[in-house]
Amino acid sequence: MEEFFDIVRRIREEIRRTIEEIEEDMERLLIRSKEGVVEPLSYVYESPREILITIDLPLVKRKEDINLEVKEGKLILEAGISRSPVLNVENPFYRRRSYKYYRKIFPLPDDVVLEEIRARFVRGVLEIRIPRKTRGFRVAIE
Amino acid sequence: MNQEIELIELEECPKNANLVIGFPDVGLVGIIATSFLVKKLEMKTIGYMDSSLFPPVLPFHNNRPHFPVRITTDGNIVVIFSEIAVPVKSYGAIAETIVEYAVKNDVRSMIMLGGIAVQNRLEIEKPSVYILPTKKEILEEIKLPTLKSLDEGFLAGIYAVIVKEIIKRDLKGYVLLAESHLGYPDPGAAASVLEALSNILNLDIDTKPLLEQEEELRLHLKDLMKRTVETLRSAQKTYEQTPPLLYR
Repeated sequence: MEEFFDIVRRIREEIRRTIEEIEEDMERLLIRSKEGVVEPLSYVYESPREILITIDLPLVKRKEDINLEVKEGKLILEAGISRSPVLNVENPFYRRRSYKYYRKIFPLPDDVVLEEIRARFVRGVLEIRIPRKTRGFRVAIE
Repeated sequence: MNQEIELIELEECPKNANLVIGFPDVGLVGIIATSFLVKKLEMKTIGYMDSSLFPPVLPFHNNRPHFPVRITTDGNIVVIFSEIAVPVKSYGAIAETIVEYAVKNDVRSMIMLGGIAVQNRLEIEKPSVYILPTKKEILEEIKLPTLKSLDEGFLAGIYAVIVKEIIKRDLKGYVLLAESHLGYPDPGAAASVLEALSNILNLDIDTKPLLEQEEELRLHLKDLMKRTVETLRSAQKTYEQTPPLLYR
C-alpha cells in the first residue's frame, strides 16, 4: 500500500514540475513578445576546421545595426529591425506582431580561435566563420 | 478514395485544367509561390483535404477559420496548397488522394512547385529553375530554354511520393524547383519558380510585389519554416544532396 502512495506522490510531483515549466515558458514568451524581441532562424554547421553559423536577419538594413559580441564563452547577437513589418501583399500567413530586434546566443566550444572570427552580411543573412584550434595535418606515408 | 485523407469538394473542379501543387518544403518556395498565385488570380476555394494525421491546427484569416490544405481555382488553373507542414506519415495518403482527384477531373498536368537547396544561395542574384518531368515529351511541349534539367540525383519529400504516384498511373506531371536556401524562407526563389510557371502556362503574373515584400515575408514565415525543417529532417531531405548510383 505504501508503495502505491509513493507512486502517486511521484506522479503528483512530476505534474507539479511540468506545470511550473509550462508556466515559466509562457512567461518568457510573453515577456519576449512584449519587448519585441525575436529569435532569428539560424543554422550551425560544424567541421573539423571551423564552425559556420548563418543567421537570417530580414529587415536589418545595415551591418552597423548588428552587434556581435563574444562574452564568457558565448557568441551574442543583437540586431535592430529597421521598420515594423507591414505586408501589402495580402498573405495567408500574415499576423500582426511587433518586432523590434533580434537576439540569439550561441554557446562556443573551447577549441575555437576567438581572434579569428570573421563575419559578413549578405542579402539579409549574417554568415559567421569561427576557425577551430586543432586543425588537421597531412600525415607523411613512408 | 484513400481512407486516411478526407477530400471535401465544395464545388465542382474544372475539367482539363492544370493542377499546381505547393507544400511547405525547402525555403517554403512552393507554398510562397502558390499562395501568391491564389491571391493574384483571385482564386476561390472549391474544396479541402483533412486527416486525423494532420496536426490539430486551424489557421484563420480575416476572422474566419480555414482548413490548412485547400483546393482553389480561377476556372482555368487548380491549385492545391498547404499552410502547414504535413507529417511524413501522411505523404502516401495525400499523394494518392491528389492523383485520384486529378484523374477524376481529367487534369492536363500536375505541376509541383518547390525549391532545391544550394550552398551558394547568398551569391545568387536570380535563382535558376530546374525541371523534373515524369515523361520525356513534357520537355518538348514546354520548350522553355531557361529551364535547367536535373540529370542525376534524388528527389525527397512529399513531391517524391506524388511523382511516384503519377508515374504508377502513367500520367503527366513535373516538378519545378528553384535554387533556394534550405532553412530560410526564400521569396526570391518563389518569384523565379512563378516566372517559369507563368511562361509555361502563359499567365500574366507580376512577381514584383513578392520581391518588394521579400524581407517582411521572411520574418513572418520564420515559424512555419522552423516547423517545416523539423519535418524535412524526418523526410530524409538530405538525400537530395546525395549522388545516385552510377550504373542503373
